[in-house]
Amino acid sequence: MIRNTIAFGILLLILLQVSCATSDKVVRTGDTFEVALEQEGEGGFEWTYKPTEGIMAIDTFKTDVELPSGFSEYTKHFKFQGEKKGKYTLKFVKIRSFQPELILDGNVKEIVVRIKKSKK
Amino acid sequence: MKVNTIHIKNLLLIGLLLSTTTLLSQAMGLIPATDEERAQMDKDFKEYIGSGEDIYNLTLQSAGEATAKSFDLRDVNALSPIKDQLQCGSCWAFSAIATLESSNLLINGKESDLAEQQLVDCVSFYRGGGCKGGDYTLALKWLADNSKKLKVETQRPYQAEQASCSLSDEGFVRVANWKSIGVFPEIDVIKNAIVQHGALAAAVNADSDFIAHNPTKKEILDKPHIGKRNHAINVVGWDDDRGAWLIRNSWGEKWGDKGYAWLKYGTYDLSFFSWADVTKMDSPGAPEPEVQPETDANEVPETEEDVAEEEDLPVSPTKTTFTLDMVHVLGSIQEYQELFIKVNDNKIRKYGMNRKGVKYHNKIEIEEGEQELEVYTKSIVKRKGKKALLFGYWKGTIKMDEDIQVRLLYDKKIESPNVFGLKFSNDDIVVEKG
Repeated sequence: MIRNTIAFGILLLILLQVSCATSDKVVRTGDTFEVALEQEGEGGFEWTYKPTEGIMAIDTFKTDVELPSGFSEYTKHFKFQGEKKGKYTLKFVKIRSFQPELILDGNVKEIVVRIKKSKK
Repeated sequence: MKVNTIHIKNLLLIGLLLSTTTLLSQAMGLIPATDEERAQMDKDFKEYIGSGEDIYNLTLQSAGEATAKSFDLRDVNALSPIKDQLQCGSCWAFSAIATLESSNLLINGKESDLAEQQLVDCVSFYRGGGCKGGDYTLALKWLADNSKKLKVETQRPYQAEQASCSLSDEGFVRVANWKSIGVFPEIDVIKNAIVQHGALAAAVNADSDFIAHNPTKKEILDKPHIGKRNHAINVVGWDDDRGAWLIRNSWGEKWGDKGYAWLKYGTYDLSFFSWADVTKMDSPGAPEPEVQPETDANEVPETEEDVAEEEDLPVSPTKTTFTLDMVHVLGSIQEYQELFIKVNDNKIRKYGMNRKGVKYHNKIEIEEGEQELEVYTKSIVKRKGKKALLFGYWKGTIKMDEDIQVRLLYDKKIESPNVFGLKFSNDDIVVEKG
């Protein structure tokens, strides 16, 4: 019984990891949602968004986590609104504004969003 | 079915919490020491240097005038080429290494491309380390405390990700001393530190304007303090006409003006300045290691100076000169020693002793007759697991009418706890052949 519980727990963790990696989001048309990307500014690299039809980018902003020492870590937030029903892949690329041609492995993030028809 | 739906929702909620936790734990490149850690570092520094700070400062060779209207370490060949940390949160390592490369140019006159990867691999702080961020002062202190020597880039190329630690006692450069000079020190204090120690490590708030800085559009970065810092850089000069510091970044040559920028005094939260000095290397021609006689580890190290010969001082061919040879073997608790000799008003000559079991001959040609002589020593000693600096001083007249070979010994304490007088003794060091 205990073994089964442990095995089930491990399976759950694996499923959660997969879930986090694919970053699926489900929203309804007209609803807004956010994507938060960490390590903004690290090495001079900043997150950028490539526009996707059916999804409207309505805002971007940064937040910082202030450490006890008073130093900050930045996260970039992208706010979107679902316009049309469908499945979309949002593409984010972390680039240097002063060296845009340099795109490194791990600096591209894709998030799948499913837009459902609004209940209204 | 409904139960399953709720269960899945719960799982998604847990997943969201986990991903949020992961996100929050991701660190920017700079994770500076806390107030408590800084207080401890200040205490450690005071214990390390003891009462010898004045003598320590005498042994430094200034790279320029702190009172000058402008100064640029590039003009005195005290900076290595610009590097690129890429996407790894290792600005702290690049900033720390740049201080050591600069110090190595000033102290040893050697350009070195030291391997940041060693710090990324080996220096782990409890809140970060590797590409997850770190603190340059803690890294410098860690190198000094652990007597680690840094290899060069070709031996440990930068990978922009953390790998297994391969730092060993075999390397090229090691830290002799370091100091955090404060959060917002006075401008004159910063200038003095630059000319005495080379590139300083410091922190800034690297916001979008900083990242996108284009000096052809706006020459000087000048955003007021906002109380946030997230990136480590180096301060490498100043220009009072611009009212700005010259800073050096680790984002390649495409950032700013070929990797450099001007940053107005008192802006962008420029703060937390630190310097580091490397040890003086053995001169070429220093003898190969020999077996060293045992010494009593509980005694004050027998600080006789020896060092390999350096470049010859110009000596007038019409005058007779004799050789003063100060021999030395590192004692059992001595990790390192520097010897400084000043004759009359001539430039100070420096000798470095880094290896155990080596009998160093530190020779200087001195004109015949009575000459004013000043001798300083600076040793790194390790007792009961703790490292400290030990200083020696002697000033007097020496009569040169023949070649002289002596060893220097520590004499009475001049200033507690670690500044001693020096005395001459016959060279009775016996080095057994291995």
